[in-house]
Amino acid sequence: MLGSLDDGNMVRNDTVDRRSYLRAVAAGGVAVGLAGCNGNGNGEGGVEVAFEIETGEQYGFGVREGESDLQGALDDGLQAARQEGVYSDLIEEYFGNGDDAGDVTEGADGGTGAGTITPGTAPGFAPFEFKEGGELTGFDVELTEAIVARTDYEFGGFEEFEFDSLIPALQDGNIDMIAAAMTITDDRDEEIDFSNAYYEANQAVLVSSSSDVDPSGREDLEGRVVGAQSGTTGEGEVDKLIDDGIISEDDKRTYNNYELAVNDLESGNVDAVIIDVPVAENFAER
Amino acid sequence: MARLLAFDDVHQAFGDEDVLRGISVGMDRTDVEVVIGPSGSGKSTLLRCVNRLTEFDAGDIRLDGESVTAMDVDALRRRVGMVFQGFNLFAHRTARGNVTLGLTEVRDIPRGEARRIADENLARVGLSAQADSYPAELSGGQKQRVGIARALAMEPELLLFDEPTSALDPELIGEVLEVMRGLAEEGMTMLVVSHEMGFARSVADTVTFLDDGVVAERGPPEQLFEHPERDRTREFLGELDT
Amino acid sequence: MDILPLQAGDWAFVGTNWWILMQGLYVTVLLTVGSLLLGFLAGFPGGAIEVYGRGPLRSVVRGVGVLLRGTPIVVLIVLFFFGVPWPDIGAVPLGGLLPLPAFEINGQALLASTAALGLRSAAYQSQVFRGAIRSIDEGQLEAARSVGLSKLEAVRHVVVPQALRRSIPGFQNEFTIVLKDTSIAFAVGLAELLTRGFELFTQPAGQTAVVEIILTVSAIYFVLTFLTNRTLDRVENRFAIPTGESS
Repeated sequence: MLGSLDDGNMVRNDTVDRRSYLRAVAAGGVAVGLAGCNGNGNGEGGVEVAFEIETGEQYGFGVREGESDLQGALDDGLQAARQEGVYSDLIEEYFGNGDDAGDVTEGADGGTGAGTITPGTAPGFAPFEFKEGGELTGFDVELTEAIVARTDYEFGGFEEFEFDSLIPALQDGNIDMIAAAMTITDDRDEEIDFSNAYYEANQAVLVSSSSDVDPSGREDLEGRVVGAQSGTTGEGEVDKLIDDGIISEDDKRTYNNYELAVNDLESGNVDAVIIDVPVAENFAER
Repeated sequence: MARLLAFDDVHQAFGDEDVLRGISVGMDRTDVEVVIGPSGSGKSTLLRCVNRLTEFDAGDIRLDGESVTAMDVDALRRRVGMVFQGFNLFAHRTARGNVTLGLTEVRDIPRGEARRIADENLARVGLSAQADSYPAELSGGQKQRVGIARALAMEPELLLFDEPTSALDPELIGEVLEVMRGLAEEGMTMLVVSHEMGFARSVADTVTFLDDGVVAERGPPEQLFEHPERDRTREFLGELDT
Repeated sequence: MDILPLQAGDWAFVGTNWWILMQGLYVTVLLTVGSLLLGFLAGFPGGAIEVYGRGPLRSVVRGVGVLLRGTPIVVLIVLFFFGVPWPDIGAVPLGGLLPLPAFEINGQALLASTAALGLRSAAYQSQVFRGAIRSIDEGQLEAARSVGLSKLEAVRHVVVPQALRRSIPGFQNEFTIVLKDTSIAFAVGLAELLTRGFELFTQPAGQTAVVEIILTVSAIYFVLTFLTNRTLDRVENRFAIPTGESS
């Protein structure tokens, strides 16, 4: 019965997307999970960050092309949030000691005369945006609320989309801004405009704490099996390892979801996983 | 008074093949006419032109003086019943259900009354006990009798039979012919395409020998069977005898 | 040997968050039922037109069918959501079925997803019906015409009842496919069952419960599929046409 479930999905769902969703691979995910558990049976060791790779990758808020008023307002709001310490409180909450940053709109003196802003995001990317007890939260979510409160716009509540639908939703007017750990790239910059960067994401090389794999640089990954979530900057780094002759094409593993990648790492099926630093630290701490 | 059914120089071709090449015959009320002839001679097509399951190319067919092509096709078919070689019963309806469909949908008879009429007609063909059976539960002979009851219930002025016994096992042919004989005696006007020479001989008023799309010979059965005028007729009957 | 190192704490996590999965199930069932219904209402006439239709109408139905069947469902949903000017019906409140907490979903996304899944399903259902109609002996239609039923009446009373019965196995297939494809609706932000499961294991507290959550979600899909197919089996037996073989 489950077999036939897979088949239907595989036939019809030929589009697989970045960064998140099990979607088409739901049942496949079970297979991955079970395969992982069958591997070395070692699911307890935990993971740790071996070293980081500097990429200079930056996250920005997306707005519709030509909306320079909103773009400027977000830049100013971000600066205000930095100056008032709200930004660093949020960094602490989501990437540091975990202390709740409290009410991020407190002390904000922005008005509401410029209209309502409906931001869009793609939950499922902790700690930037995820659901907890059914409620949307995360670094991007709270930072957006903090910033909008410091502009003349009114905060209209988040709309949720799949990551790939965010830019069309923005262009179509369903949402007014994107706050979804979106890397500023030239390709995207042609379709939409970005605010100033609000986060720099380097890539982390994650390894299993209980394994003897403990690389301190890219060269140490020679001959290792390395995984990443497909379509991400992390996968790009794996490809660079292949280009540089450090690992072979056969040793690359990609996943539709980084959770599955880390699961496979814990089970010993891959030696290392490359993902965004804050996400990696999230795993290392759990 | 106009004849009940009159063919006037009817032509019909399928592609390059001329199937009917000028048919002109007629029959009156209570007549029983049997059409015989080799396969491919156009017998079934002739029949199907009457209720316009096949639309003929040229000429005219008149029912009680009125050209069938000028009539509403559904009204025409209400007046002319048809019994098929392959029975063509509605597989999802019981024997009774096969008979009632035309009554309720075409004649607008209320359901209860339709059941009564259906049961009456099933009794006429000797199938009272099988009213609640589905086609798949009936023998070939029983199926064809349901087919006849279905046509009869519409109270047609004319009944067309398209080789009604050709698909039946030999031992089942008799019960169907028996029903047809009974109808003839009741005065039903019948145009029958058949290979059953015995039936033609004993029941038909007129026998038409159709050959290669034309009426090769036509006459009362005793004349056509005992003293055929044409060599072709003799030849055909001779083939049947051996 | 412990083949599945599933942990009690992770099952407890699934347990405390069951209502989130139930909210997702609610949306999944809503989407599946709505899409299948739309698919039936558009697909049955579509199949009939493909068999009996003439000229441009048939060409259009065929062309649209090929297009819908040839387009990935995620593309259809995104296209329907962004490309169609849906009336702004705002948020649709759902739930409130105690003890399931009430929640809201985006009305436009619901319309677009139902339309996309429904019309795509119609394109497939039309093929199921087309095959079923074709399988019914032409002679029955001729017999119905010869007692004076119009073509439409003959199709309605003779072909349709039999074709529907013969379509049930194909319809079971279609149900299973639509049920699973509802998960694509998250492309436009509809949080159905699979997305809810995904939400659970991508939150920090649920990160060790991936396998437990996916197993739970799979089990729910399995139960839905199993129960529905069983029900349709019964419907099929209930309305089966006697074949004469058993009596």
